[in-house]
Amino acid sequence: MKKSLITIALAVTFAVVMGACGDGGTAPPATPPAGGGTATPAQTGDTGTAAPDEGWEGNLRVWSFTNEAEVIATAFRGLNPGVNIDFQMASMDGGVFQDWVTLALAVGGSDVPDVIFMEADFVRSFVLEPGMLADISDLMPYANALETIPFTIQAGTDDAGIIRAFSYQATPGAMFYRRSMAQRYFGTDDPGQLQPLFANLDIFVDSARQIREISGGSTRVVSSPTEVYRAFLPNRAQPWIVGNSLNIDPLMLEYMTFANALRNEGLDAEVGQWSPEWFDAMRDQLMDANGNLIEVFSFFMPTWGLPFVIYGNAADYTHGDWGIIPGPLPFQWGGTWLAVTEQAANFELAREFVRFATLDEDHLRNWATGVYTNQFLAAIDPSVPGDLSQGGGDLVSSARLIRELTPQFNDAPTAQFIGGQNPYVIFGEAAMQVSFGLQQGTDATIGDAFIDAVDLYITGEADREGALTSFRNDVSIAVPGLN
Amino acid sequence: MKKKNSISKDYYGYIFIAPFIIIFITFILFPIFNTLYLSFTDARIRPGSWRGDFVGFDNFTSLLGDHMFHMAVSNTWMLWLFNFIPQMILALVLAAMFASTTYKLKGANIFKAVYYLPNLLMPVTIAALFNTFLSLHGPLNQILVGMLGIMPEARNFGAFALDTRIVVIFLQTWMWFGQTAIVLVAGMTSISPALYESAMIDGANQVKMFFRITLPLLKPVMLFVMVTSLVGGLQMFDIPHLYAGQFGNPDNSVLTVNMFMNLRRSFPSALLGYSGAISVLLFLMSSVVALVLFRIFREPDDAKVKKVRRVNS
Repeated sequence: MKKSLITIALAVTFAVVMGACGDGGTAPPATPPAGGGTATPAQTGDTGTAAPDEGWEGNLRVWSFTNEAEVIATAFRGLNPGVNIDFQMASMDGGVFQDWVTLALAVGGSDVPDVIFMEADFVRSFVLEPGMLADISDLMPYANALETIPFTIQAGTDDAGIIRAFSYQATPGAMFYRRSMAQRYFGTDDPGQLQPLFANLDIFVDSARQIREISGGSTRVVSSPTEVYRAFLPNRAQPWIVGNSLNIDPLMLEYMTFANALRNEGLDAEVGQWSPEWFDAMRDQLMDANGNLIEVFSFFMPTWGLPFVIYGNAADYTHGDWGIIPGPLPFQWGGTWLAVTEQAANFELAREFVRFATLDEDHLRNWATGVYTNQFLAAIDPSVPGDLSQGGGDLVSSARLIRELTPQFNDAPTAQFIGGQNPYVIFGEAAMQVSFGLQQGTDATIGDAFIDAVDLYITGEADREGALTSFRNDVSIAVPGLN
Repeated sequence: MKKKNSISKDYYGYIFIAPFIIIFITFILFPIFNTLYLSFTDARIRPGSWRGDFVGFDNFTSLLGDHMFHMAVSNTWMLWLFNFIPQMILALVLAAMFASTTYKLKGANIFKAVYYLPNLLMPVTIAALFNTFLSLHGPLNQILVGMLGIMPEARNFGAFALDTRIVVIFLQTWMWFGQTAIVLVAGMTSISPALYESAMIDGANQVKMFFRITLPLLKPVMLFVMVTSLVGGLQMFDIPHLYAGQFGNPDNSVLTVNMFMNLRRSFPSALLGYSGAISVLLFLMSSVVALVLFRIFREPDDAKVKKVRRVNS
């Protein structure tokens, strides 16, 4: 008896292992679909889908790189108790999430997500790649009603004009400056008077020189030229890849000149973004090698940079001493898009989830105004993590809601942090200026290579041509096959 | 009943080795042959093309003609050689001191543990640590410029190709010399003390004993250290990737073969076939060199002994 049990156990183990091989051995770090979490394809047509009056029913697999997805999924289940959501998360660092999702979509089979979350760095790769994301253009009436911000739709639209992704937020950027320093070097800390001093790239460099002259070199306009890099991207005339060749837009060459001027005239602090020194600079704690204080006048950050980066790091040190202006060029950084996968087992329900997350007026209002506290979410599902919540203040993707909600943020903590300016006003206006049309799937990698090449140029390790050759070399490794 | 029992006794052996065989086939043997297969295809992680079509030697010819791949190969060799040679010398000196019966070093175990410590740190930690330590406004510049005044002005070590290479080589040496020393100590302590005693009676000094007794008898252990270091070194990835970014910049100074492969394999390129070909080339490269090492390090007597035996039998 025992022996036959062992034999059976062995046979089962072997079958499982071989079965996994047959599947291509691709199971990502997802939990097994035990416990009723699986979507049965048969459900799509009849039983699984909607009776919107009584709420939706069915099973949904949601894969994300951010736990904001879990907040949304929980809120969705609050309205539709009949929906079972299997939520999985992986980091986008080093492309783990992207590899995981592309592999699942490429191989197919039973372990495919219905809804995926995508970051700005890779949303275009998914949108432009055939066979990955489903057509959800029919949600456009909702977007029109909410006046969804154009660039968020641009990002989700493929070359044929089919919309495959929507976003619940808009992430335009702005120039965060220090009021005390502005007072010292320009005699005013008023955003209205400062914007003309940084209104375009030439004036920006002139003002940077003025800061250096008056401060005697102890104050620099930015941490490094890379800080301003993202402001150039949406304002190019052409994308990185045209036809089948690498194309360097004139504006990117202008960026090289701009970066070189900042570095070689001693206008930047030579501190990389996200380095410990960069955070020190926000707190007025950056020291050079001789122990002298170096001050940094401004930081280029998007919407999320205010609560999560600047406020989070500097609130105890430089509270109220910040201001925001649009800066020389409109730009955008980050953001999260949602899409239904082509292989989704339950397309209708998945599309409803995307609609709810990105184009549902009540949900977006809740999202922006901090309704989704941990108590709120725990009341729906007691098993949510104790730190899961969504604080108020995120700029939602609906221009209509932005207008409606703006007065609510006049006295928000972040507004007090930036000297009483209402971030919703500045970012709401900036969001309408941004374009996403030139972004391609390989932009993140190519951008990294370009930033490295510009570093090579401005440190004097290579001349302009040498730096561009190094750039082309890097791109030839990561994006082979270009002319 | 009796018959059944006698059969099942043979069976038990299979049950005990089954877990290993299954794991070996699934996670080692299958991937190796799958990689070999993939290297001849244009497989890509995308719907419809993840199995790929057979393209013959296209991946290999394109790689062998790619000047960036040549650079990755020469970088990898350069980084390995310049870290292995000092590492071996350092480890040998330390091991000789630890294993010496005459010195009887006090607290040898503490030293061994301390030298081994860098190996226990995660590469992520080490890379982040040194990025901060060597940055323009970082501690090293503060010490050299501010406190000691040795350098006139701060240097951005990460911005220069040569500096970056030196740092990566240093980190590899620093991480692995302790490990190598411990393996060599194990090899040295297995040498019979009688040899040293008789040498001492004959009047040999420490240096002579090291070169005439220790080194020759340490050959098998040295070979082991060399081959494992070679295989690991040619796969070098984490430290240069984390310290100098995915392109090994500035100027691809520390771009290694594995980093090259990572750029081809990962999102958004996702070129499985290409990456398979790179793996196969890497495998061939390390195999050939390992075989050469085996030949060089073969006991010269072995061949003779075999011959003599063959003649006698």
